[in-house]
Amino acid sequence: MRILVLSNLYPPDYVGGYEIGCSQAVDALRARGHEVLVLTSAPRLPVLHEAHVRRALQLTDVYSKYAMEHSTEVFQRLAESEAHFVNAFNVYQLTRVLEEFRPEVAYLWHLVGLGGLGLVACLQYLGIPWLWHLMDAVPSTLCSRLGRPVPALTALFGKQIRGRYLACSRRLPAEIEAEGISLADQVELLPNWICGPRSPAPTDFFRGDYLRIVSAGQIGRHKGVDILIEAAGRLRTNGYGNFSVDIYGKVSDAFFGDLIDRLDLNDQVKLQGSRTQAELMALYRDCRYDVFAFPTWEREPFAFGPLEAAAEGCVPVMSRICGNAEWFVDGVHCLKADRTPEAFAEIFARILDGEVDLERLSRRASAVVWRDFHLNALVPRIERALEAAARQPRPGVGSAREAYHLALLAEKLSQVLIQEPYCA
Amino acid sequence: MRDLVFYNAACVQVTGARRLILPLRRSVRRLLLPLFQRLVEILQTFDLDLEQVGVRQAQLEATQKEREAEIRRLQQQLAAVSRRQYDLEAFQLDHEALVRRLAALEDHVEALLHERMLGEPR
Repeated sequence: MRILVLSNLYPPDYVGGYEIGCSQAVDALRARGHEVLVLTSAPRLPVLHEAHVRRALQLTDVYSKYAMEHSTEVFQRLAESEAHFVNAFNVYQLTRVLEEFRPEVAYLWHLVGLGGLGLVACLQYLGIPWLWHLMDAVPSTLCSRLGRPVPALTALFGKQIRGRYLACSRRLPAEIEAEGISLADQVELLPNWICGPRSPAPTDFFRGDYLRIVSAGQIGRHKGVDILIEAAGRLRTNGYGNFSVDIYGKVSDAFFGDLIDRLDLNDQVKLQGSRTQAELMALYRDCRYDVFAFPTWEREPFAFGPLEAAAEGCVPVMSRICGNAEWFVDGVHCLKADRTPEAFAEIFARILDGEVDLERLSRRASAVVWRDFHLNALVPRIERALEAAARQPRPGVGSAREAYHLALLAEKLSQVLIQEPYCA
Repeated sequence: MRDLVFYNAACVQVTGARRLILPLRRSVRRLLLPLFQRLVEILQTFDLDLEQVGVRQAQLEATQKEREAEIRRLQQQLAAVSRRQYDLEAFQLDHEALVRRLAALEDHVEALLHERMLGEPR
């Protein structure tokens, strides 16, 4: 198949697991003989050229907290409009690539920052069938303004935009639909994955003397890093000193360091800084961590971190309600806890007291992840979904010229509507 | 009349030249008697109203206490329902995970059986 992949960023330029997942899926599809072209934004730092990656789009980086916080309100709104609604330049680039590459299907990923709504509308207008891989609530974000879905847009999206979706957990389409976007029954669930050659099965397990806890990902309250630190504090208050917590990730808020200081946990809890995905996998293996603590929020679609840790024999201890909890069974492949410091501390204490057979959990989780959550096991399902999408009817075929005209009109209109109140 | 005794205050045990104004006082009191009686009636009504207000206030205070207790009970029920809903959702997720794992295992068993059948001599 000829597959056109659309993504806001593409490794080595990436923000998180969504873009890494995209590049892994692209590599797997190419390895199976598909002709894949990736259309993404110009990188934020120089990267090597790859023949199958065209970095021709403009990215409006609304994720740059510093840039957004230090700009005027009108700039913020214009940037948001360009990132979510329409960027005529990107629509133009898309139409050119479509004419040149003539894909059988478009495979959509994270589109925030590219004027994603305009790109999807363009595909719809030109009758290009598409499959959207959802690892976040991107459709509802694209229909949002100032952090809230615009009802008129969500209603229009549900009516006009027709395609197929792959979602990494059931709660993700539920969240999108709760914000007013109807995805009809075009959603198939496909879990996130690990990839790469299988590591040797773990042989060194927790023996009851010292518990090594690890966590990795964004350092933020939504990921529950504060809950983890407080759980460590409670554990020590309850008389347990034989444990350590290593937290990997970019620290951009002094709060967490201060919390560790305030609870006097510097000997036990350490912020270890950022690591690449490969480095983390090696760390889970080489540092012989026992559990991966993941007290994340309920919105979590399905994080890669606990999956990768489980593959290396590190048992996930996760919130009872999150996307990951849909795929692993409590007490069989993982341990689940209420999202409170008390509940997490209690689980760690139970492990330290020898009430949990961590070795069996670790062996099971590792085996299951390598067998059923490896990309090689899942890529045939992606192929089938792409084929099914390509077979969809293509109503309302317009021309690329018209699509670009409409994009220009929409872009100007949104700019005028945003700027007008500030000029009055 | 009990309520009019007050107006006799300056008319008893008066001695000397002050007794001369007693007839005047009595005539004035006679003239004003209907007014005084009406005033008594009004004050008695006020007294009755005050009693009723007191009773009503007590009733309202009791009702408020009942309502506050009701709100506390509802808050507790809401917290319990939220907790149960959270538990149910968590249980549902775990159940889903279990079902998915079971389905995956069934597929694996089926694939293994199929492989074995192919490997068996005919």
